[in-house]
Amino acid sequence: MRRHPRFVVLLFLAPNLLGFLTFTLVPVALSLAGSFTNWSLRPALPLEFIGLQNYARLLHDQQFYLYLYNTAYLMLALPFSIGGALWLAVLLHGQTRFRHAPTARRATLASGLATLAGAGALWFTGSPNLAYLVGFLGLVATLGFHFGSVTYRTAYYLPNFTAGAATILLWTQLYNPTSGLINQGLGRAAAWLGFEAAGPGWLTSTKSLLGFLPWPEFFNNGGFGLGAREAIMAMGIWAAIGGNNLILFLAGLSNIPPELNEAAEIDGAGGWQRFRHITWPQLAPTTFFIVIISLIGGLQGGFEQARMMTNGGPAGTTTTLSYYIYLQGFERLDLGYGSAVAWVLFLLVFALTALQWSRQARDGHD
Amino acid sequence: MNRELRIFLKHGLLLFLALAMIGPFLWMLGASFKPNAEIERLALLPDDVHAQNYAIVLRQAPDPHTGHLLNLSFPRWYFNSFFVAAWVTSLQVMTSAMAAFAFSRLAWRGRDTVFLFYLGTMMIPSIVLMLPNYQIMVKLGLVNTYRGLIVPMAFSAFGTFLLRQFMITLPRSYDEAAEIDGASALQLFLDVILPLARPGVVALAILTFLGNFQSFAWPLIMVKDDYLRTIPIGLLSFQSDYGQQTELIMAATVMNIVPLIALFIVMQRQLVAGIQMGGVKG
Amino acid sequence: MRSVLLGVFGVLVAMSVVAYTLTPAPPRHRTRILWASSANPFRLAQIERFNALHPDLLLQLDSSNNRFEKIIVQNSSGVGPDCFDVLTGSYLQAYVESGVAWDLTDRADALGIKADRDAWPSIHNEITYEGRQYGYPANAGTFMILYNKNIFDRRGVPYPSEDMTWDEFFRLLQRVSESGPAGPRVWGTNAMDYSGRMPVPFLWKTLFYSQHAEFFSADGTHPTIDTPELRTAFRLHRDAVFRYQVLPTGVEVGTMTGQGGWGGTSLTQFAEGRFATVVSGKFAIASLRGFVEQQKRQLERWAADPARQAREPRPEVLRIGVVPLPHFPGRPSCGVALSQTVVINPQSPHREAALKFLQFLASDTYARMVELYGMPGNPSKVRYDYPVSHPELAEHELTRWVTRTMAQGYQTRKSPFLLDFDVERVLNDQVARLEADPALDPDQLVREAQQQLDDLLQANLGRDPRLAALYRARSNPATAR
Repeated sequence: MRRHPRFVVLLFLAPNLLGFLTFTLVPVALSLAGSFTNWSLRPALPLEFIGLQNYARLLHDQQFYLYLYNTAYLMLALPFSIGGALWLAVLLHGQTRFRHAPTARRATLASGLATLAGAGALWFTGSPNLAYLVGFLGLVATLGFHFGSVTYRTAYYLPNFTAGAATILLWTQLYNPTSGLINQGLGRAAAWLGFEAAGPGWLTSTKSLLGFLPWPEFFNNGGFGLGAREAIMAMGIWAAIGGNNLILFLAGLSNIPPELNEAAEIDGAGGWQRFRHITWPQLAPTTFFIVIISLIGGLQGGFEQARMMTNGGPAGTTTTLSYYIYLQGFERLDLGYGSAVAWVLFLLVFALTALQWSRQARDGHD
Repeated sequence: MNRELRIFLKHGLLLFLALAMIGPFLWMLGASFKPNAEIERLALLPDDVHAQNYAIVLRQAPDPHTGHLLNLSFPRWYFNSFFVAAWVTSLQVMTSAMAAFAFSRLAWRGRDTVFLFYLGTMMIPSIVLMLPNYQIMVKLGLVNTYRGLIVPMAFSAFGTFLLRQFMITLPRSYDEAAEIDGASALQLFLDVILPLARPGVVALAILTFLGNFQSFAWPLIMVKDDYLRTIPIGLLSFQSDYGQQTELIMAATVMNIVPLIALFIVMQRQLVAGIQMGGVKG
Repeated sequence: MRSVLLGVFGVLVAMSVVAYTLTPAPPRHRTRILWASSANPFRLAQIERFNALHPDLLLQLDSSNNRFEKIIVQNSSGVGPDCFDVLTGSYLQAYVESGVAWDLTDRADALGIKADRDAWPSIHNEITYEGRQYGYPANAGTFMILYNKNIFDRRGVPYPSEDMTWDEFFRLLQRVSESGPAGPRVWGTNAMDYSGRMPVPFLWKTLFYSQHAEFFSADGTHPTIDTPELRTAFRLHRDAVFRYQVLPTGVEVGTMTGQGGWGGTSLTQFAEGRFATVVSGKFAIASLRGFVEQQKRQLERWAADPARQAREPRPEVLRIGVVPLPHFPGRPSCGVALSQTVVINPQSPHREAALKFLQFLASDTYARMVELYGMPGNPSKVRYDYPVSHPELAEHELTRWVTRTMAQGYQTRKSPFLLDFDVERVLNDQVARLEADPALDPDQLVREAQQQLDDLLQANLGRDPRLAALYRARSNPATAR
């Protein structure tokens, strides 16, 4: 293919590049420079070049290793949130409406009537909360029968709208070791299976699924079990499955020419085969995007949860690097060190991305 | 019939998942009608229905603590959120699409290297960039202005990357056909590539709009005057050192997100519409 | 495609026109002062009064808040608010170290806001740092024990007395703690700090202050952590959780709250009857009044509805009593004194005008407005005769006790070599470990904290040669110039 003239390329790049240089590259350069200084929010401290001191300090900072481990551990949730979103996207992208209009009408009507009857009965027998829950779910089902997948896409995206106070509040209640719904459910299941066991401590516990490994003492490891880290991971998967990843996968699926699938169907390819040979390769650019963005997000993640839910605890087990950078920069006023941590983090993400990149480039040339 | 049954079962599965997803929303809706004294209770619905929470937020009823109307201007804040998000979304989609076009459909030396470099900047935690960025805004005189909320958000490596991924999948034959017709790069971009990348553009628009509507950290440090606040900053009016009026926060949030949900439904229908565009017309 | 783009652009332009036409014009003939303070419901009336008294000034509230990062970032870029609230001495220290607090020492006397004459002595370390004055309190206070009379009456337990030791207090709480099927249903006491986040237990700190202890040596050169006082505080904190079982852990409170760990929760939980007592101050009144109003309404509804009476017990309306903090045997009761200090931004072009506001805070007019829920910064401005709106909240009793405990209270000294934040964070981490694992030795935790803080202090000295010079001069006065 012929080369395009440089000015054409520049014309298209210019609007983004201009803003990019001003609002990204300049701060980035400043923070890199800052990581080699004693950059501080204390004006009494004259700015000095201190070479690699911040980085040397980081190498000996036990907490840094714990927080790096926490960050990496929380990222183990990523395959689940990406895979879950993909599965859900394929499910929602497929046929969700009945082929025959009368069937759809009947299902809608039956569901609507059942909802009214069920919720009404519950309401008048003195359980308004259950009536509210059943009524709302029935409403979703009825709308689902009538409008198809739009209803569910909206329902699954709801956690992103209610993000913040309501979400955090509900999860902290769910995770309550004694009165929380999760442990009560587990307790009942255990009783049914005929044994008795204390439920996981969730947000109160330093245990983790990898806790049986011989971690150093400063990891404050509580042993094998379900603890605060798992609690945060589960919450992250819950919010991510129906969220932006789902939207992006749906957009990616819409981008696949339907003729490909139709042709394959005529050739007698089954659902899995069509997914394996058409959907998956066609979706590769979208998947690649989501993987990279999730890696970036994951390595910078855990900030909100640490700040709003756990304060980084118990015993530092939910403090991630991004929260550590915040603590260093804005609570200890040591922006130089915070920047050094940020840049080490950057090198890690960049290495991982470059790895993915070369793999994708290689696969692309196949 | 077999097929209809399968669809029916699928609905059952989808509904089961929905149960887990709509919990917080149901709690929020219920809590927005609770009096403050009931906020701590687990029940979804209030015992004593308090619709005046909405009246207090809309300044139609006085605050129970002091007997005064609260100093709120939600209509203005709502307009601000919408206004800022609309500008940011339009600008970001446009600049990202143009850059993505250059990174995917134009051939030039060093293209992928420059792109990787672009991507690299996303990997630096934004917390360390906040202070330098803020100082740039001070130098440019954009603090406490609408422009300060809009301009820095109008350029994103995220959007460029996303649209690039959508544009590189399009067959080369389109470009060649356009070239034979003597179309310029601009015409190729506007008339061929942009319409074909529509699912990606719509997805980016949805994500940018909703993300910006709810963004907190940047407006928090940028805005000083009351009339410039966006909704997330306005919600801080219910938090004081003496406690928080959760029921009012919930009422305000419900009013905040119901139009957003409507908008989401409308916009994501465009996602599906992409099928016809991409397949038939192309 | 082109028409879509043009349409979008048209809408955006139209919205911009609307936005800019609706932009309010800056006030003419009035100097605007922006005050970054929290959205306390009483602020509006105070601001209105100030503006009425000063027709040339226009005070406005920036309640999009007094967050630390925001103030630091804005002020260090030269565009901060004209004045802002500082909630504890640790923050004041950080603000001063960041150069965003105006030194008022030389002007204070003439303005009538002098720290050692016009403010409570016990909060000097809240408004001054290293001997310089940086602000004036909008509100002052101490911690006391508020107790729920309904719970004590129900259990037939005598109310806490004015003169109790900590041991007696915990034993009393054991008698009012009610156990339900899933752990205690009514806890003995709640002592949690919220700063818009997860609750952080502070009983250990209260126990530490109760011994009039300090975190630093007199010259500020050494953190005094591995001391009998802190060991006692840690041990007793652990006992309150595990031996007496009257105090939930921070995490337990975090998971039991309905608000997911947001401000004010400890008071709401107390008012709801989940705690027999709470360690709090007079500021509690501000939220408890609204709470009591709602409880009264619920009682009315209950009284009017016979079906409900058959179904539910009579709803309670909170009645509280107040006593000072318990003490250690042979020591008087003692606690930390706090202030909400208003500090002026030294770069503000209106800093002279902002001084007027500080003078207003020191005036009798302001004292009459703040006494409804807090304490004036000047002890001579305290009255006991303001009208009581809720007798069940022991309002005058509270005022009397704050005045007395303010006289006995103190604020810990700060060190220029180590931020108080670091001390708090390191110790809070250790307390979290203590609460998570009763087998850990408190003495060992204290020793570790001492080691960590010594290291941090050395790291600070290593980063700043000037600080190191000051350190050498202070730790060895003989060789100082």
